Amino acid sequence: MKRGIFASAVRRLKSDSGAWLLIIPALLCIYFSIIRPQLLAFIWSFCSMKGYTITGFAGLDNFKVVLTDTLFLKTFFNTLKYVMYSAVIGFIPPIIVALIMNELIHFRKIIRVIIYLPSIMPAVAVSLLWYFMYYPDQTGLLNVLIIKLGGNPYTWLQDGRFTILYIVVSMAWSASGATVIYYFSALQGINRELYEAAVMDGAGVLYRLRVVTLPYMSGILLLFFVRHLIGVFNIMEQPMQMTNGGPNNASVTLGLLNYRYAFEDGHPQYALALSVIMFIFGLIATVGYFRLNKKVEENR
Amino acid sequence: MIKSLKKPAVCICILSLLLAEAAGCGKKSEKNNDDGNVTVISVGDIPSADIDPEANKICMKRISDFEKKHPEIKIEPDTYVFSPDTYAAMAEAETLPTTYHLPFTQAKLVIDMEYTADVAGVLKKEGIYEQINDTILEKISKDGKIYLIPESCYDSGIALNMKLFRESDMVNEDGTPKAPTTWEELVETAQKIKEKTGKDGFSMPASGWRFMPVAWSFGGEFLEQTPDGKWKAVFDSPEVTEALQYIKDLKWKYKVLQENALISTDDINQLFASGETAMMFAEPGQVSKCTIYGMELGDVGMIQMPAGPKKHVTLMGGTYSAVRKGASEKEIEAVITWLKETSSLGLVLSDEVKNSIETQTELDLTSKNIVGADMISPWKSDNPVEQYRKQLRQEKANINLNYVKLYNDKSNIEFREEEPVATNALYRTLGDCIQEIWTNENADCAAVLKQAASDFQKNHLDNLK
Amino acid sequence: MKKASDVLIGRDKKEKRKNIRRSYLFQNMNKGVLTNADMKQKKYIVFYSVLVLIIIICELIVLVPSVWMILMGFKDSSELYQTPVTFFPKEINLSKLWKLWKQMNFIKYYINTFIMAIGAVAVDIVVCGFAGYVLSRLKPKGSGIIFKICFWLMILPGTGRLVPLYKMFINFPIGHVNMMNTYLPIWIMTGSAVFDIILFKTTFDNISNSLIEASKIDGASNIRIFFQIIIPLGMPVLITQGIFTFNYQFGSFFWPMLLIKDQSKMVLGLQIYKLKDSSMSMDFRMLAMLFSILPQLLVFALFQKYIMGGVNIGGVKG
Repeated sequence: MKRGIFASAVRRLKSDSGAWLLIIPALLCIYFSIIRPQLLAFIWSFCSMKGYTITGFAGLDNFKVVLTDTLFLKTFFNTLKYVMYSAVIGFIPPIIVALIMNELIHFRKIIRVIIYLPSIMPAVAVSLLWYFMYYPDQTGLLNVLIIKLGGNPYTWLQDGRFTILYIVVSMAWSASGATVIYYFSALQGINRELYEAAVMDGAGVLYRLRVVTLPYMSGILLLFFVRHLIGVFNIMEQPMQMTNGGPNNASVTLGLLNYRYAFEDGHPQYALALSVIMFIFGLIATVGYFRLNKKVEENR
Repeated sequence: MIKSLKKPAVCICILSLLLAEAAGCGKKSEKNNDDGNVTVISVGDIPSADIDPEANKICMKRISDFEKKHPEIKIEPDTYVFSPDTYAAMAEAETLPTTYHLPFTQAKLVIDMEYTADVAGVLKKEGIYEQINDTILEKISKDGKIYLIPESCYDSGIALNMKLFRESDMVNEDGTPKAPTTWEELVETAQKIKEKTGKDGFSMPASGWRFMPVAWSFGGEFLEQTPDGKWKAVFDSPEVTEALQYIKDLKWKYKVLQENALISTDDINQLFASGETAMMFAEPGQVSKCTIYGMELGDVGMIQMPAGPKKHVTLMGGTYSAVRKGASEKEIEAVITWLKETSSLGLVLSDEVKNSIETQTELDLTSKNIVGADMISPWKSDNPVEQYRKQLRQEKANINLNYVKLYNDKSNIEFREEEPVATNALYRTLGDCIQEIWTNENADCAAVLKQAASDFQKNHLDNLK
Repeated sequence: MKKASDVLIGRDKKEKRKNIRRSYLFQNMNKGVLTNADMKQKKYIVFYSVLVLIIIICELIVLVPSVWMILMGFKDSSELYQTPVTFFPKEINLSKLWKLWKQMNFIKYYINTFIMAIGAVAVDIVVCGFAGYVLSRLKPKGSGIIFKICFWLMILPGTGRLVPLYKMFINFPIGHVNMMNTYLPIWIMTGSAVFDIILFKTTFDNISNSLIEASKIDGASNIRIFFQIIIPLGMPVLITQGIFTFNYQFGSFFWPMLLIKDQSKMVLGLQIYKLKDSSMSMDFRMLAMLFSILPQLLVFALFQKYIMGGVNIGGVKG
């Protein structure tokens, strides 16, 4: 019995050997650049360290330090706020723009190039743009607009209630172009004949979207949605550049906390423990992905 | 289903663990820079030939002159400049240049991690050890070892945009600015300038580092070490509260501050350079950075930190030279030889040292760094080299010396060092407090500080090992 | 599809001409949900105009700040920061561009960066493409768990990995190779782009099975199927990913900062980053950035036509 299983496994492996050969380069790359360093990092999160040298076993002490940090809860909810805002502002508009672009006949090339422009703008120029945009006195670009319309200058990023929203808007401006191009390229892969078949059946535009476009795109949309959420959940750079977490930690994120532990305070073990905690949150979130993905694959 | 997945998963885990293990046992390839009699050292902070061609030329000439004189040492120029993101990785992997510069604020971290080589032996041998200023010596040594070499030192002051000062008639007949000497006068000056020019009188970032000297001058203290060696956060005292209240009033009561509470130091430099603000906390190095934003050197003025009700005190900062961890004795010696002829380490006024000071001044002039505002010496006073340097830099000044006269007069001011533990975290915490009082007009300074101190105690001081 | 003009026999001339014009205007509509037939109806023309309007607004939101940023380089330093902010520079001085071009040796950096970026694109398409293909089509036993592992790895925040990863590249476990001053680590890391693998897998999932089955019957090998069917059909997404990988690497500075010390191997992104520690004035920095985005823009403009899914291998009904 046992031998039978073993033999069949070997047979299976043999028949799959071509496939394994093709995937092995990727697996090696993944092993060396992700799994191996991550394993070390994982071990370190349970140790007390001097720099990156282990000085002893700390058990769960590092986790305790991170979780009992008075900032942790606030930061966690802040990060969720980022995720929620950007699920609306950062995720939906690119879909709509890509769908529209897919319909357009005129000036398609130039439209695509322009949409893509913000994605390649250098970070320094972008941060200067938003600095002027959100500047809180009457010289800020948005305030100039408000004053022209008869309003009073607004404090923008300094309004702690909405700081995260404004950062998310700036992120959406920079990142949407690339996402639009991704969606657009996926839309371009749809077999034209599917639409024609739908038209033959007398389907209207919305119906065609639902029957042809949506099922085709659902896999990619789901993937991008998850990546979007994960990307925002780990976000660090944009808040660091725009507000450095301020005012009074109103826009601080878990990623930024992580950066501070590792690079400013010299406690990599706390940063690693926080990484593990963030990973666990991520894992919980992706259970949903696998469930939905299964549905998508079944629908195909 | 699950059963069928278990096997590959287990296999992958075992395989990776094995590989990781094997890698850990692997022997490290030894780097050998001793090529017979020639010691090769790489030197960081050399400007790139394509970005700063003129500065690069001066440095390369310096290197070739040095190599001619010391055929046993070979210098490899490296464009490395300290950056917090990459430092730990490069220090761990020992890929940093043999010697490089490091700001004062990083000293504590670097020494705790032992990321730099112990240079005590060589410094003692060369007779440099005895010359180091006591406060600084305390900062750079631990358990009898010395991890850093002082390079230059400065005190925080206030930079003035003299264009705005002239426009609002704030210049004395002898050419010096009508500058504030106390915090109240700072407000008055700022108000006058705002009245005359419409520009902000004073700008500061919500930075704890900038807040330190203000609080000290009000008599406040931040951390206290108890007899059992533990640290206590004491910045919820009435003195610090008073100082914070002053910072708050700058914005809400006197209305002389920039509008943006989240402004970064770089942004302040931009405001200052383009004449949108008249005064800011600064050191000569920071003012030099303003030139990239179009600051005219003729408009630069500097004064001392104003005096508070209790003390007249300022914060010291500066640059260290460091030697890479793992450097051999020979390399350390070569570095010291190099530094003696190219930095402030030359303590005997020889022709080489004179030459080095001249080259350094020329380099600063080329790079549009301000020349003429005095630094403080990291060495014990009465050093003829320092006097020569000061004199030469006054002669070659590229700024109006009258405008910095009040800064260069360093009598009757106390220099203080940063707090010794959890420094960056402390600055962040105080910065958060300042942001809170700047964005919330009704915030209560005492309550804000109380909360911050208790959080800081819990998050940082109680975790110190 | 019938020509619009055929339908119109017997109508009056004016109407006819209008319709011909319409059908001419929309004759290229071949990819979207709207069909040529729809565009003969008035309500769809209105609908289309609304779409055009939305796109124009979006374009303006994107274009105006971008142009403003590009123009910043031509202002002088004090003009850059003066308030109120200006849109157009006082004068456009092209000699500034020339001066910077001569000083900064861009050609050398272009070549180096190009090598690094093209290598990354090749690795991305081949290594990750193969992996995506295997996970999507060949599905050997155990590929399910590999897909899941890829996904979990995507969620992992990368901060903690930096130091062990870098140390490994300096002293590689196999043969103790020191990868300092090479682009190898960057290529290896590109090969581990789990998101790209998953993206390719998702894309290949959408390719109809019938063609692949047909080739299999013809006795085509896996690699041949990959290059002859999967790549052409997955072209839009592959090209997009290729362009993005290229652009990402073209602007990257962080890993080059850790890895490249040799000036002759220096890449553009790092050189631009190093400006921050120099005494170069802000306007020249902005111009230098212009030089760094130009190749990216060019690559995008040149290759974007392949994003259009022109390659429809005929004869496959969905």
